[in-house]
Amino acid sequence: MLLVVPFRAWPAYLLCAFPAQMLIAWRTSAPTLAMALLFITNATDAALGAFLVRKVSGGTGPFRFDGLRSVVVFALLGATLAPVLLSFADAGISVATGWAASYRVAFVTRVRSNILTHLIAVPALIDLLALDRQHIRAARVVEAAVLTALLVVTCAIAFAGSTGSEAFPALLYTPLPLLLWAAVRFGPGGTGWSVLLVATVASWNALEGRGPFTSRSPVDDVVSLQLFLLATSVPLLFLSAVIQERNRATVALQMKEAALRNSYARARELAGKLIAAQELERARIARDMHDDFNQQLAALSIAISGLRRRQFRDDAELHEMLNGLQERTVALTEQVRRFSYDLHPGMLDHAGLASALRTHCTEFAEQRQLQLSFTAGDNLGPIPRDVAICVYRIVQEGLRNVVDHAEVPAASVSLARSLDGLELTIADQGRGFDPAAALDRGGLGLLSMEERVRLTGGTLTITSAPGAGTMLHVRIPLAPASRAAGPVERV
Amino acid sequence: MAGPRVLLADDHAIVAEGLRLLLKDHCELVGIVADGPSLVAAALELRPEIVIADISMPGYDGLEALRRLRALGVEAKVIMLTMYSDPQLASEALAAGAQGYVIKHAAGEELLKAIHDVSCGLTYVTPLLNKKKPDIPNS
Repeated sequence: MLLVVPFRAWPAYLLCAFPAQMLIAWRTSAPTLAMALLFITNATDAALGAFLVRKVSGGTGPFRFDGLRSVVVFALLGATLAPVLLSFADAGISVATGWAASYRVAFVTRVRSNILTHLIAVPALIDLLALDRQHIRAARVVEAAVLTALLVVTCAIAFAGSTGSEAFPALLYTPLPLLLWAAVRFGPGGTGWSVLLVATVASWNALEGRGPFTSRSPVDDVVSLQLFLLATSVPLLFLSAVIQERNRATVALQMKEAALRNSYARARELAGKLIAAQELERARIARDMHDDFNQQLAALSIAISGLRRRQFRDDAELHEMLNGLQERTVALTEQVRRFSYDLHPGMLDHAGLASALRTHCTEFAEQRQLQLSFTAGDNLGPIPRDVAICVYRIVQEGLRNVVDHAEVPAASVSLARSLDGLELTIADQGRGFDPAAALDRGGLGLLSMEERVRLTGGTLTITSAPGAGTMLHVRIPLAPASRAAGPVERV
Repeated sequence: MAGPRVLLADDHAIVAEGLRLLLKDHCELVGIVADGPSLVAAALELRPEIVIADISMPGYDGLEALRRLRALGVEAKVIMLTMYSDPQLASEALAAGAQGYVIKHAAGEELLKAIHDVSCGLTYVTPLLNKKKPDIPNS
């Protein structure tokens, strides 16, 4: 118990054990004073063992049998060192109260029975306490029931048989396969329960005067039964721990493998989407160039040939036509400029992030009839180029999302420098959506925003719910002016 | 009567306007449409002698409109006027029943010549087509 409950609950648990100890004293007619004193040593034994095991195994939570190390620590400290130390006191008490005659005999008896009790009972109890009641599979219950039933039957036969029969030495080994089954399949806890069951049946038969442990004097029989159980339980306990460890390693490996497969599949899916998106983008650029620039250039070309073959009344008429042509050329130049700016905002390189964003917001608001407010902190400091382009793209995508999905005529963009990073917020009071569901659907817009932010080591959070507006917040870490390596721009 | 009756199909208003100015002294422009279906409908209704059509147009494209016109028995001469200087596309247009193939940028110089030639029963294909690449043998 003390292995799994918090340290401060120990006194309560120890006090609870006192009446039980006195009950045993009353039932077995052992000297009451001896029993009361023995309670103190037993309690100290339990407390010392539990304390040592928990300190050495290092965990702050309840102790668990989870591998070879935990079993070794328990067997050496909890089940051997503490009982041996306290058995010195036990034996002294027994002799002093006149319950036992020889100190040496009393000591050896106490050591044997204490070690055995610890080794068998504690793993079984810990197993019971650590049992995850919500996640027991029916197949495990059936397996445990079959094992228990077979073990009871086998033990009943093995330990009730006559020592005179020819099969006797072999009979003693018949529970072993079942104990191995327990060790392989049910860990240290299951092994504890099985050995406990064997011990119970064997002791009961011995008390009833049947079986192998009834050959000599009662004292000798107890000793040989104890040695038999010790010899059985210790190797099994270690074996079960080793197997448990291997099982755990296998499960961990399988989980890692599954996670790896999963992320590989995601990466492939993303790559596919990126290729498709790149193709779409190229198609859009080609269409824009064909529909806008080429057609306008063709129209200009046609108009110029028209001019060539025409007779003009006077220079004024010619000038008027030339002015018209020039205006169209200027308009076309402006379109080409805007187009190339969309592909890569050159202003980012020359004027800095805040200015480029302000220009973009102004143009976007004008084109898409959106009331847009833009605020930028006064002193943003130097911003690396990759961070600047990331923030710029996220504002572009975020504002497109506002227009396409939020169904609201207003939005706000704000950029600020915190102590250790850059903070971008895009907010609207529009329709809102469920961000988790949107990410599951795998929209490339959100996904590429996430990926961009991830590449700069930042975080992107979207706070939104249907009907509750949307707030997109990006935080990109920037060391205070120390991230000056590489291309740096001034804002 | 100022020249042949011409129907113009181009979805780019600015080009259509330039062409209108170019053609107004040489042809009788009976209509300007901006997509494939309207082109077919207008050709059936207005019975032009010459159709000048862009290839890329909304609805269905100029080549499809040409095929439909031929299937409907419309015998107007058709000049494809396009951005594409691909010989493959030009030969496809001719196979579909076009008499002319002119690149838009050269329309100022070539379109009137093309109109003249097809009116006389000839075929006009712009000399500006990309050099034909050697045929890749089918494997």
